[in-house]
Amino acid sequence: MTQRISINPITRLEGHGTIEIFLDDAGDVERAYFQVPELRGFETFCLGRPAEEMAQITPRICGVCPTAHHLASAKALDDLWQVEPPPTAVKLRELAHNAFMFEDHTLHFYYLGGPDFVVGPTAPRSKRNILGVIDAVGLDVASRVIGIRRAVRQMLETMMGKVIHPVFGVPGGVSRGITEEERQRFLEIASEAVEFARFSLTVFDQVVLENKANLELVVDEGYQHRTYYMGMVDRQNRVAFYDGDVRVVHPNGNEVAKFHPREYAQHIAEHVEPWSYITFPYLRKIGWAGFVDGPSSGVYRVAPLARLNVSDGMATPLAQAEHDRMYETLGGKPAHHTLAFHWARLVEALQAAERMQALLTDADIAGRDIRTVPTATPSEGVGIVEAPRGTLIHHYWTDPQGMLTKVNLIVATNHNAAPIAMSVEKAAKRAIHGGQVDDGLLNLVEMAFRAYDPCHACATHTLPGRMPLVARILDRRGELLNVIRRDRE
Amino acid sequence: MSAGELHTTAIAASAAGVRPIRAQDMLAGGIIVGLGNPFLSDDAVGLAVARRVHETLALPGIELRELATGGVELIETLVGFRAAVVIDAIQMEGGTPGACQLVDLRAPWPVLRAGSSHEIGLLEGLALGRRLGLAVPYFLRLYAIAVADPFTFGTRMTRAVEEAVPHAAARIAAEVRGELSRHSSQTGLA
Repeated sequence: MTQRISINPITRLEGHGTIEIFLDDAGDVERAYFQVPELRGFETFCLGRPAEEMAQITPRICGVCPTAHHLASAKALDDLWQVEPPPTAVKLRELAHNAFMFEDHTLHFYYLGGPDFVVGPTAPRSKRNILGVIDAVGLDVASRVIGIRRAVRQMLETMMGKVIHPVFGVPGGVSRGITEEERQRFLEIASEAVEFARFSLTVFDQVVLENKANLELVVDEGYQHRTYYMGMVDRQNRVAFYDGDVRVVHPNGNEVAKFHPREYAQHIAEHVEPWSYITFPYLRKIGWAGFVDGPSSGVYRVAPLARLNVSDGMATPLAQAEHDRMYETLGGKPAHHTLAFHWARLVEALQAAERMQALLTDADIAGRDIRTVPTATPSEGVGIVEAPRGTLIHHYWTDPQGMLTKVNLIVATNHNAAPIAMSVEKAAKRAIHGGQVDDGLLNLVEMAFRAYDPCHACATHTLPGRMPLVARILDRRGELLNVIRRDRE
Repeated sequence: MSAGELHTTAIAASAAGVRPIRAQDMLAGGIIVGLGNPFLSDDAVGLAVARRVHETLALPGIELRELATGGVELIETLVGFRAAVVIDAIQMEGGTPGACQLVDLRAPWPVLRAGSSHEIGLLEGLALGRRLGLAVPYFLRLYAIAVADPFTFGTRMTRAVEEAVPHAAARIAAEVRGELSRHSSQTGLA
């Protein structure tokens, strides 16, 4: 008899999900499905609207990645109107994006991923949160997190207006520059950000690398998938967040594709499953072979570790040194360790802070030439940035008046949807044997997918809010055998 | 300067031109916060009711803020105010769309934003703020409006929820007027 287990709700993640686990006759895991409810009508809502509104609409999809959506949209609008922003405008956009990446990555480590390591995966749930982190690392660290985040957010608000109502990127540039006084003030914040990012890596050293149990968890085979990887790189094939070509590497690390954003559809196809509202992108040339890894499966991963895996290195010196140290510890490049996404995230936070500093050291960023006014007739435009959670694609089609006729968004959690399903299944297999469900099932499953920092509100255009987690265990016939709940608290 | 020597709260705040707000600072003023997404049908109800409450009270010095997320950003928004009223949407099985309820902050509550899971929830955030010595409001009311459809993109709420907005706003305004009036001439710091 096959059994079926479902898990619902998932804490500290946007959206609302259910995990259903089917057991075989021996009581072992046959398949696990990660489901999220649908948020309806996004395309219908957009069609017929002026394309330039997308830079204001898309940041509101879920509110977690507003800056990344805003800038992907601004780039799609540049492409739509075939206009090149002036260098100062590009620098300002890149500054905003790096500030957001730093702030978001930092928040994730301390508030979301951190509790699993800092407090420990087996700690009681009441301790596996930011308050548990404070107990473990002290008030001062928490004060620093709040303080640096606040400073960076205020910088972003000065540049862009309210974070959830960005009025910044426009076709051909930005709506507002910065003054020389602001440049100098922001440079101080960037310098603090660099120091804080370095500090975060020392915290990671202490709580993960110097803790045998945590390090074993990171390198555990149960948390690895040998997949393809995708991410944006600059002209030297270094990690790039704002602009560049998209590179794909084989599970052995060799480049298999490198393409301009406009060519994404030639490389990415989307698989549909009847049990999920999310589509599952895969590499078109490799093909869909199911929820499996390996060279013959088109499943690929995006987000911090994927970006580092596809690159030849980091774009900044301090981050490069940390990159080298990470791969040395993990046994080479590419690394397939899902829990190492947390480490890569901190290396990226350091690059983001260093880029902020470098951009603000250039006096030209306070220049006045911030927009090229578009004059072409729009028809189709693509914009890609690397959001904290991975490659973010905006693709718009319009009539000659610039009114939207078609919209396609592929967000980070879409790209990672198949790997997340695979990771959840692997974690479930680790925790369930002979029909006996380990008490740590929910924690193991949570850790598996939290490493990706998924945002299902965005991926499914679904309900943002506190995500409850319910595990439903069913037999092969779909008969419910057990329900493990974690309701909102 | 090494990372260990940093005291970033003070440094970053001064770098950004604002002073850090600690518990020992004088709390002042009041704030009404609406949580929600204006493009997600009923999810916008918290924003609509908050605007109406603010308009109805018309108290000088009482601020109005709209937020899309309820985690750290909400806590940062509330810091420095003596009194805060937060209005969110709530999804309840069998709930009457448009029904307004005062949420017991000590109990589990399935509000859509103030219980944000991507960051931290309101209760967790308040506890964090107190632990860090931040000046969190001593008067805090969380109201939740039951919704029917927070899943469909659109700028119109469902009829029952839309019709409930003035009633919910009137009730909330009546219940918080006394407390907010006491702070209406003061200015918040957040």
